[in-house]
Amino acid sequence: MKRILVLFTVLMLTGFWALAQSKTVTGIVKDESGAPVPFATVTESGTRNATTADANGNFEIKMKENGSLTFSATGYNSAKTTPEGKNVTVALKRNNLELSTVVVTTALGQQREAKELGYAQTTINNKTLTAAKSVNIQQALNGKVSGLNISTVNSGVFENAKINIRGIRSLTGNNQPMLVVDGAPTPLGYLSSIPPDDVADITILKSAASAAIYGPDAVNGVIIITTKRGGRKPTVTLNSTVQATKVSFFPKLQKSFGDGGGEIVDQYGNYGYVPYENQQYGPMFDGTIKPLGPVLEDGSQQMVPYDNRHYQDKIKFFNTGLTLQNSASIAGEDFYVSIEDANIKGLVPDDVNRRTSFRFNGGKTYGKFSLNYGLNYILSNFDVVNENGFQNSFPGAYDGGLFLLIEQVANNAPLLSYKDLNSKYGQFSNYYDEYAVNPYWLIKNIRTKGREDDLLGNVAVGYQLFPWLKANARVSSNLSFTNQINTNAPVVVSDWAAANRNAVQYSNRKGSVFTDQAYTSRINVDYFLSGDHNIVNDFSVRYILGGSLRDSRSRDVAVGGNNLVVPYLYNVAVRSGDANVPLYPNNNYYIESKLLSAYGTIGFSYKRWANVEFTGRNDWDSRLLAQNRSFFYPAANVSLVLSDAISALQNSSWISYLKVRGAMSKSGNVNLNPYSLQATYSQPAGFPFGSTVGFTANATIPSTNLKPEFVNTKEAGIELGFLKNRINIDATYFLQNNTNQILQVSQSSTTGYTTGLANAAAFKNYGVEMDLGLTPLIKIGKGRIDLKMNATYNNNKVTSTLGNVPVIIGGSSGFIQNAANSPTVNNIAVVGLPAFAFQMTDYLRDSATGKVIVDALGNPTQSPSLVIKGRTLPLWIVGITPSFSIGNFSFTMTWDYKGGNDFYSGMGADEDFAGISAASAEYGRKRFVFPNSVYLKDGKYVPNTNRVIQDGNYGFFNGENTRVGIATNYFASAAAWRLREVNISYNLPFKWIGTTKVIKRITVAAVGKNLFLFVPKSNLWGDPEFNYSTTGNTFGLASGFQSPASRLFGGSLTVQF
Amino acid sequence: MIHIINKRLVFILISLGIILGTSCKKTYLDVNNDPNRVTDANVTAELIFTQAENAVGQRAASGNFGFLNEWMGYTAPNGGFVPQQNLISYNIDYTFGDALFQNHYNVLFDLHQSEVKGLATGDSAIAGASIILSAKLLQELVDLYGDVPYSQAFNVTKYTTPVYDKAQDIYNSLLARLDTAIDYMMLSQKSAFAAADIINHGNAKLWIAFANTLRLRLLIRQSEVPGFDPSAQIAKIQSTGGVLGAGQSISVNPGYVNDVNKQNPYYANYGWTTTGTQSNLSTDANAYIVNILNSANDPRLGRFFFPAGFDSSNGFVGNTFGDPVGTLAQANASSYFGPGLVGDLNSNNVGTGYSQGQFIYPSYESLFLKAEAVARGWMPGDANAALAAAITESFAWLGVPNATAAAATYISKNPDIATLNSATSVAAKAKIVVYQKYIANTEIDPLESFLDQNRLHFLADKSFISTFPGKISSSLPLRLLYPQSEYTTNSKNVPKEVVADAFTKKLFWEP
Repeated sequence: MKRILVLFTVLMLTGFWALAQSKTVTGIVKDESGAPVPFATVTESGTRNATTADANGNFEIKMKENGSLTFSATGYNSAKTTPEGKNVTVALKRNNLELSTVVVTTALGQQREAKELGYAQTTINNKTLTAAKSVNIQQALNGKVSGLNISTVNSGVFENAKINIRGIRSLTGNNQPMLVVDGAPTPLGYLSSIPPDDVADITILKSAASAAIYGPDAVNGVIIITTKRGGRKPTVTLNSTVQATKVSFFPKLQKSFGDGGGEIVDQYGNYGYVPYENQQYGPMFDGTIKPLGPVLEDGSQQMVPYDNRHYQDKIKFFNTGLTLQNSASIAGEDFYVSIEDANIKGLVPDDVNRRTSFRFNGGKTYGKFSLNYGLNYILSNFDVVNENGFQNSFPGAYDGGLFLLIEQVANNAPLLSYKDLNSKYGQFSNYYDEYAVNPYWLIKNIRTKGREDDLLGNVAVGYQLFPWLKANARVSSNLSFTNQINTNAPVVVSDWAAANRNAVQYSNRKGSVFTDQAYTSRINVDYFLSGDHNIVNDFSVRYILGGSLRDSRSRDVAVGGNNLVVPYLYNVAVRSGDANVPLYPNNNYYIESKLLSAYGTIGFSYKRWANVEFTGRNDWDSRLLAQNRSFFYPAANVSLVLSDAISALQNSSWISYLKVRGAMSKSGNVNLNPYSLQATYSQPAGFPFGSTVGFTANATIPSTNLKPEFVNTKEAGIELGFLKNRINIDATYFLQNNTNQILQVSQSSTTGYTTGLANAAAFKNYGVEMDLGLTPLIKIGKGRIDLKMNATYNNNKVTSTLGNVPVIIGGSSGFIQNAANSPTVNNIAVVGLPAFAFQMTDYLRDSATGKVIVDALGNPTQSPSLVIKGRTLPLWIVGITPSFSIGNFSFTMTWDYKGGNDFYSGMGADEDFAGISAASAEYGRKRFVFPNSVYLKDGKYVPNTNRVIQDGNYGFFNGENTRVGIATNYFASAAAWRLREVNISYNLPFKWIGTTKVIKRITVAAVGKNLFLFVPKSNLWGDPEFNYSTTGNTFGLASGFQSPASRLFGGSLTVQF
Repeated sequence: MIHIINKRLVFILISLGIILGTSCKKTYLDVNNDPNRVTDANVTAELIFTQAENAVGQRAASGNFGFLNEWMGYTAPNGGFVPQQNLISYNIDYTFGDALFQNHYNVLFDLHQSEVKGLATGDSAIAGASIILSAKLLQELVDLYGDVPYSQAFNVTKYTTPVYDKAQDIYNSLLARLDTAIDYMMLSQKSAFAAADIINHGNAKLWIAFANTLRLRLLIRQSEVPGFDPSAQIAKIQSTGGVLGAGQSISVNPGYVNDVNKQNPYYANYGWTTTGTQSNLSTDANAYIVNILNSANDPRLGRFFFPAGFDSSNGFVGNTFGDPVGTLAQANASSYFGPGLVGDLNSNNVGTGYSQGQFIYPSYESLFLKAEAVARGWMPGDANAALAAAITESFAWLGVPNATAAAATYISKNPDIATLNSATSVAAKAKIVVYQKYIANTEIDPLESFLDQNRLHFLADKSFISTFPGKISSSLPLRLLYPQSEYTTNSKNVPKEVVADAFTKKLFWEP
């Protein structure tokens, strides 16, 4: 609090300066299109009298009666005019020195000139963002910003992505950046709901150093989105995009062997054909006609050729997905209205997701009073297959998720013909597989439907108290209403199937339903005083002093019912037995948390080329004990524009821009759910039995004395422009020391709690990010080729954990694996290793050579200790965006590479279990010598050339000690090159449109996304970015609940009136 | 000038407002009391204890012990599913016993909490009962794993990685703790105890008898330890009223009904789901025990198992454990868990035992322990009579009609296996007693049978061993490997093991 008073005093002392001049001229600086040019320098020609226009181009200057004014702004040619009255409007011409960013929106909505900033940021304009017609912003940002890592964790109809800027700063807490939309802090989840077309520009502030004033929310960087506001003339824009989605990457499967699971083995150990197996450890395809499935009730049996003719059915099972996006917007002088509709049909038949949004932004200035407001309503509706609910209908079944269910259909089974659930072999009771259901039945009968209504509103008022001080207040709220219903249709089987088929799949079961309704509200109130002042000529100060309040509440009510008594009527009230009422933290809760802050910042600038800024902030967080609640942290940054400061550089034809900058900051961050300070108890399943109640201790023991995590960031950067800024280089080194990490520590069950919660670790995160722009790279006549590249090297290292005990962050216990004895795999924090490494089961190996040890029977065995290796986050991220434009035609593509990290595919173990993986047929299901193995002979390990595994078939591949339980078999490099997007667009020439002045522009474009994916040979399974969860910090852990990776291509039409 | 002063005033007021508004509302931030869950601050010993009692019952019925039913010749995989490779090959790994280990410790922690909170509020009976139930679970852990965390367990503020105590030390400590428990049970009770106690409903005598039974189980297990002298402990049993007798089964019933998660736990695992489909589809009767019961014309056969396909004309049929070829499917070919365990059938061929109490310690087991103690000369009495009493109690417990007469007939017709007449040595007598206990424990307490086999090797006919060609051993493992979760979270303390150790590392009481 003391420090804030100091700031306050400084503010007061800056005082008032009154300068007497003979005439006051006001005016506005605009560009050729009529849009305001912010922060233009307005100088009385031939004098040192100058002022700066505000963010809206408005200026006011006192000058001599007959003087003239010179206007200059970065990126524009200077202009000179002699004002004839007290009002002047000047239009500046853009010059060709395209500095990528001139004016940026920084924390608290402050518009700043990029060159003043002492920290790294990147601004992306609407044109770059929407080039590839992504449905959402995170996909559109991929590959375009250094330091930004966006992993798309599945390819369903949802926009599931994890976003990290410069790696991670919390081992188990939130690592996703803050989202600020039009100045209002907004939950990051909304990023996927804001239509890219509504966005004017996006600024990425890459660390707390650039947004210290936001405090804990900004430790992971900030994505600042400014939505469109109108220009002078109303413009109507219509856009329509169609995109098709196709399966692009399918796991490597075997195509030689059919059904069998060890039920029939001849005296030589050969596995026989079992026509109703889900596993494919049967004999080799031989083209003969064989029965498929059991003899049916009418005595018939499906007969099909025993070969792989239906392998392609597994790929054809997936639809061509279709995404339709239509938007319309009207932009006027002080308003912007848009409506957008995105309708996504998924790869999985019947999966749909639709989002419709409406936005109204407005603003008005009345003298010293300004008012800005925005309202955004988003309606989302989805209807998808519910793979997780599958288990509820078939407890004990080896079904896994939908993709595995499809993959494990025998290659000789005509999968596509089972689509008709009334057909003879497609109907539930007659499906050929005794241990799995018809995948078409699953997608029709086990579903999730949901609706989300989001309302985002904000109102900001400003009042210019003095020329040097403005009072600002902003209230914003995010309201979200979600409801979801999961429905499991009843399982209805014929009497014959009930009596004769495997009861796990073929028993009558009643339908079930689960409904969940949640309401979330977040209200932010910000109030601050801000201003700037020229203390003396060439020396200016800017300052902010303010506070904020945040109130977050949510309530969830959920209830489910099994045993629905009227088939297909999904209401909890229509059931027998008890209702299912799930507990906090999953459902049925009320949560409230509050955060109060006070902050101040003061910055000094000399001739605009030397800038320094100090920030301090204090938070009071309701989630901690009263004595730990309050915490203070400071920040500072400095920038020097040497190309302006050093006269030798000013006139250099070679170097056009040179800036160095540095920043330091500390930020406190409470990575903790509300109510996390006390050990809790709950009634386990079954309780209460009537009036008999009973509580069991929950698994987590918190430390009541938890303190915030602190992120200490240091960064230094250089920005260079050569040859009139045709070549731009921006490089930043960053180092973050992250202390006091609040961790959920996996503990021995013998402590009573399998999880502990404590301030238990520290790690550092460091790297270099580089942006290179060549604009243009080559100019050929009227055409030009531009090239933008970015590269990020990002490493991190755990420096301490509680008692140096490794900490498990998450892993295979969090997702269902199909194989009965699937491997254990975790993300783990180990001192000295990156955050995170993988911890997993491995073979017993000879420590000297690392080779696998086999026993007398030639079998490998499992090591008692888990092996720790690899890393989860990419070490290198590279994005390359070349573009070519000539006249009305432009072509842009984005390539990106991520590498240095690894991933585990749960699908791999499931495929081995089911006998469908290519690997399971590598040795032709015959006896083989385990490659690269050794055995013990006379006390020494000798290479194994002769100990042959007796059962190179089911026995080996389903043995938890020999294959399916060994995670290293399903572990590979996650390196990947991707052609992330391609965009070809063409503005129709006016002679085609006609002379009508109604239409201003027509653009047609062809777009493609994720067109190619190149992965190392060791990756047999799929997109290495896939992960089982979008939440939490796990990476590189793919469960079997995935869709195959997909590619998109389509076209778009934009018409502007 | 006035204009400026006014502005300045406004500015100062706003500034003060910011500072005051953000710093001085202490109560505004006091919103962190959990409105959703019971916490340490408001939970009571009774709330935990009732649940913990039920959880001990769930452990006794747990599918975590299903592997021992298969290994001990009680059940075998049927032809409906591919048998679990690690079970039929004995090729177990570190995850094999992980759930069992963690689940046992999970229940032990709730018992620990109710003991601590019971003592804190002066409810010593809750503490005593919690200790007695803990002793049962802890002995089971020691008998399966050997050294386990004990002295530093459940003290998380001090020990996040508890050390492994010696098995023998834990045994000795459990005997001493049972003394304490009996002392607690002899004190006057709070009324809350009887209401919370869904096992014995406050009956202190039964609790003490149960404590003595567990004491005797700890002693009997050490029978083969050279120089072992149980006399002092036996004297304590005798002086405090002895062990559980006929009709004194320890079981728990919070009010089981035929609803999801509310059925009798054993019935839920091995009987029927709430919708009337069989819960256990992959295992049925083992031909080994079916032969033993058949050859002795034992009427308990029809209590342990249903006839194949629930049709008495099919007779009782078991599968051969580990047979990869000739295994029979469940539907109509092999025998399911029987009416003595999951209740008699209703008209839809569904067992009716969903609401019965869940056994924790059946009375007949206590009588078999007593019979062995008498046969060994540790306790006074006629060994044959003691054995006969135990067998009769088994008949009664299973609901064999006219149990006493039926048992007498059985004993008289099978003198070689049901009386000690043919045995001369103490060792031979003990083997007959545990053989009878083995039969009585079919599908009920396979752990006791497994441990008796490791102690006395009483099963002469080895055809309960897997016939699977790929098995890695021709004898049962002696113990389980330490669980994966311990290697992950407590690696500095958990003893390092390789798979072969399961077959070679003996527990301290194993000869």
